[in-house]
Amino acid sequence: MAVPEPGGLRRFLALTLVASVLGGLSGQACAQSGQVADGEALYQEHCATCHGANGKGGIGLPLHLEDFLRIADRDYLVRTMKHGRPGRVMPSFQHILTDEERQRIAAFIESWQQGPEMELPGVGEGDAQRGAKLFQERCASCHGFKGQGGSQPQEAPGHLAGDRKVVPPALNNSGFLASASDAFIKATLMHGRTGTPMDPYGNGAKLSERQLDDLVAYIRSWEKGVDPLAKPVIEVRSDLPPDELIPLLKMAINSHNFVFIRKQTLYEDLPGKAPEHPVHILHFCSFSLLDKALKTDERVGTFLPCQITVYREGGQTVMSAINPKALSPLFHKPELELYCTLVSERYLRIMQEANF
Amino acid sequence: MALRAVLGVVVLLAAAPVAAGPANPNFLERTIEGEHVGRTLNQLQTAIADEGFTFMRIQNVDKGLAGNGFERPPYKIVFFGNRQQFERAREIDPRVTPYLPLKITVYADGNGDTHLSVVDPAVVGRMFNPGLKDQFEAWSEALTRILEQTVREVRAGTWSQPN
Repeated sequence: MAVPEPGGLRRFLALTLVASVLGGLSGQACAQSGQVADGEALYQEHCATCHGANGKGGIGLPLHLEDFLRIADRDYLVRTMKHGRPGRVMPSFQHILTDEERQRIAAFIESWQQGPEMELPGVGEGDAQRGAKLFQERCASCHGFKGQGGSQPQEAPGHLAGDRKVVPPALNNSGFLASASDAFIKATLMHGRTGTPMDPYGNGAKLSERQLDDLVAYIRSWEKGVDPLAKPVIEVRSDLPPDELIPLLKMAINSHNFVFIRKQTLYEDLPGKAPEHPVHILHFCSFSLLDKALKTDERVGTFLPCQITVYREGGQTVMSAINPKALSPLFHKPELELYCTLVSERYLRIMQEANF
Repeated sequence: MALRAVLGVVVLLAAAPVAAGPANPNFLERTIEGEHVGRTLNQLQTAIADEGFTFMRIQNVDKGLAGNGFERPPYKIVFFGNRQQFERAREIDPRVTPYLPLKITVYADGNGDTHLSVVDPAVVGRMFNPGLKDQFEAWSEALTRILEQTVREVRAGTWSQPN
């Protein structure tokens, strides 16, 4: 290799530096565009059925909205995918996608943004009580008097039209509260969402700075930990012994329009001595619901039969069931979500009723 | 010579699983062309025993549905387990209890083909105590072998009655 002369050496080093910086930048750009391309494929596989191939919405909220994209940072998008919206249509992808995959999808969603990031507002200490009154006056007609959100669409994707494409989100949802920062909530209140029924309330137009902070404080006050329907099992504990609890469970099963089929124990068909504390399994079925679910996806047998397991642990009796709502994202079929959510909610009610 | 080559290809084709691979990575799935639910259930019991599990029972979902006015092609769930593995798993994370015993779904579709399907235990295991990871992965591998053996034997016509 020829050694450059002293003057040439400076030029050579400068060129090398420029080349390496440019190379680094183009490498970064390549990595980013690669991440977006990967994210697009993942988005189409996991998100497009509900949110639309172009993010314009469907059974799920529209994401391709400039007002949303300008305030929703990476953390919000990734956390939303991680936590989902327990009890709503949006499932948790915590066990379906890796953190890296969630980052790639978020990068793809961010690529729709046209304008610059919006500077998020500062949030002062609000008064939740004042916020509660304001919420009833300004927000409850759409978001529900307890922030539970609008009724969710029952139709399959592609069958929604007009305003029904935007179901007012549940603000009291543990997944939302775990994903949204106070600044995100305040920015949404201030700027609204053009293209949806959500009006802007900020910049003194409708609400003062203090009132916005009060509303944020009230919405944040709903944060109460993880929704029971977000876990892999639905569990209710009781102080009653199994032999008293099981008849109550059977009654609750029947009262929720399931047919009780039989009771057995976990180990009865397996070799070995009967354990001191048997694990009881109560089988039951809603044949009409089962028929509909099987017509949606025949693999739903994975959740079958409907069963509640009853066993002793820590001096209490545990009633426990597979949580179809938590497993339903595995099917990649949003229409199944509705059945799974329904069954999960019924399991929980049956157990709560038996323990009442 | 040519005949041997043709036979070789036929044998290779027969040995290959029908499905190129599971369409949904969260499931372990296999398809057998034709309605062979009865033979599949028999062979499944043999394969389950070969993997050290105890066959427990078959639930006739199709019959339950038919008895309530909902007709459909055969749909069965095969339950099986290993007591020591279950006890160990429950000691590590009792929340796993309602996921027991293990099961595989066998059903015929509207075209008359036979399907074997189960959610991949390795995927389910991510929701539980990390101490159960090895057990769920071992179940995933065992179930994969059970499905492979069953499909292979049914297709080859060498299926056997369970002991």
